[in-house]
Amino acid sequence: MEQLLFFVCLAVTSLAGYWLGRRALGFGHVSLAAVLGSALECLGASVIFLVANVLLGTLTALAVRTLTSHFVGLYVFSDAILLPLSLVQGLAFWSWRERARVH
Amino acid sequence: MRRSHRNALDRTLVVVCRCLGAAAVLVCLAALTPLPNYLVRSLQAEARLGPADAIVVLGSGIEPDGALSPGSLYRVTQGIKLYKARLAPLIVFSGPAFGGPAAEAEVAAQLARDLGVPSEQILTETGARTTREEAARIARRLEPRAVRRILLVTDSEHLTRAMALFERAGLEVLPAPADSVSPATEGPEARLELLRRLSQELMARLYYRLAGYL
Repeated sequence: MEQLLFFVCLAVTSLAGYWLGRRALGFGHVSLAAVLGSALECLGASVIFLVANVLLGTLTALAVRTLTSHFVGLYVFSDAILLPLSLVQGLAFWSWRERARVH
Repeated sequence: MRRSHRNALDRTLVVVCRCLGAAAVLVCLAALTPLPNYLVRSLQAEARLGPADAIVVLGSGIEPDGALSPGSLYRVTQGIKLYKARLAPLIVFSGPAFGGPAAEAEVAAQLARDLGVPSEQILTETGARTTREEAARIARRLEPRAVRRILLVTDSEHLTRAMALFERAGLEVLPAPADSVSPATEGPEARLELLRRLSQELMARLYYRLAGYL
């Protein structure tokens, strides 16, 4: 029952966003399916950045351990902050791509 | 790069990103279902408590101000509970300082003393930085004491890998899980945390296998 509240909140704010875009801001001529596809692509780009960040961090830590006497823990790269930062990377990259395609 | 190659690369990127994006949405939706709980349960070792020669509490981290991390506190508490239940006469705490003011093992040992565990029944290992090093160093420390069977305390998803390493070091291991996030949790945020820990442990197992440690 409590989890249903999540979906209700998400549905209400999504509908409010849709109304704002379509009625108040005049975005109605753009296909919603294309926008959702683009959002999915943007999320996917963030996943690629996340995986790349974790892999690069892990390999760097292992290299530092092997080549020097300094110890770097691998758990540093499982920090939750990597998620929003990778999301920002993906968002920026995909916005760049979209703008480049328009020009 | 030629225009046709560039367009092909862009199309591939779009398809890959759409698939990964859909996968990310499914992972988020999975946090609203019991799927993460099942996945964690399938990887974890079940508790098997019984009399042993020693209780070994693995390190989980220490805060910069010298306080035990929440995960460490759960493990230390479980270790002390097992000692108080008279399941073993010796308790070993592990964990280095990682550049902080005190070693995790020493802070845990002080907490155990404060809760009534005699100093002579406590052993600390402050030099091991990974699970593999903990198994090797603790097994070496326990050998002269004729310790054969241990109760191993760590998070349940970490136990399977840790048990394999301690058994390789020549000890018989009884698993004694101590979880800071319950595998039975029902909150979406806690379930996402379960998924994060699960991925972390799967990556660690993969690394240990590739390196030949398991």
